Amino acid sequence: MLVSIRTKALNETKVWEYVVRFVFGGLATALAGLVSHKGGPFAGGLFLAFPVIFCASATMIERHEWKRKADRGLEGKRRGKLAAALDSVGALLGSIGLVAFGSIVWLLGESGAITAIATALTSWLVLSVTLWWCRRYIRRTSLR
Amino acid sequence: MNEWFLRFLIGGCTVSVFAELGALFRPKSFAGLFSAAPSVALATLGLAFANQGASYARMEAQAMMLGALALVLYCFVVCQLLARFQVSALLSTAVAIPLWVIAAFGLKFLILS
Repeated sequence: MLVSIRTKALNETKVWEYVVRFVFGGLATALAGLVSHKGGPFAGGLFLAFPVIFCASATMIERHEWKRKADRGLEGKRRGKLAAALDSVGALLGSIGLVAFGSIVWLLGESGAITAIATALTSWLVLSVTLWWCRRYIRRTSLR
Repeated sequence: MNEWFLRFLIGGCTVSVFAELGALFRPKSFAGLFSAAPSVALATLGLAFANQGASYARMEAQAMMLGALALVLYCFVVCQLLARFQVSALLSTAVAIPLWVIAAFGLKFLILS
């Protein structure tokens, strides 16, 4: 299967990790608003793609992978870093989708908030998943 | 309700939802797509449309494209630090933040000049 859902992963997340994500997300949104308020919408808009969420998720992924290996008595530090590196590959592809998200909101902004944001969100998802699939296809065919 | 508290609340909720979605999927490269989800943008642009109007939100979205291009560079550098140089996730994501700031504001400077 190309992509699978692993619900067990939800049990691995600790309460403090939920709190960290929530606080980081809240602070990043407040920061973007503050920069817009002080420096104008163009300066604030840059912070809509600030990598604060990625920092938190990569660190947690490394820790989870390292802990999973350590529980089996294995040395998992290198594995943890590789897992976080794979996450960053996905984030890179998602960032290209984020460029599309911004451009759709910019182009359709006058058509209304719901139309612009819903179309942009769909475009982000479709483009990111397509890029991910293309990367996977190219890697598989080049390895044969 | 205080506008800043509302921003904090909406931002925290959207980021948490996308983070949990990312945690559900395998392989990890696919889950990583959600690390660059427009979670902060959804909250901020939604509020901008409601409070300041469409032209203000469009300008934010225009700048967001530059921030996202800087994020592409940031993710590439972090990936190299993690995979090639075996730097920890915390350190590699932290040391690359100045790079994002320089790239984002550099692009802004280039566009505006």
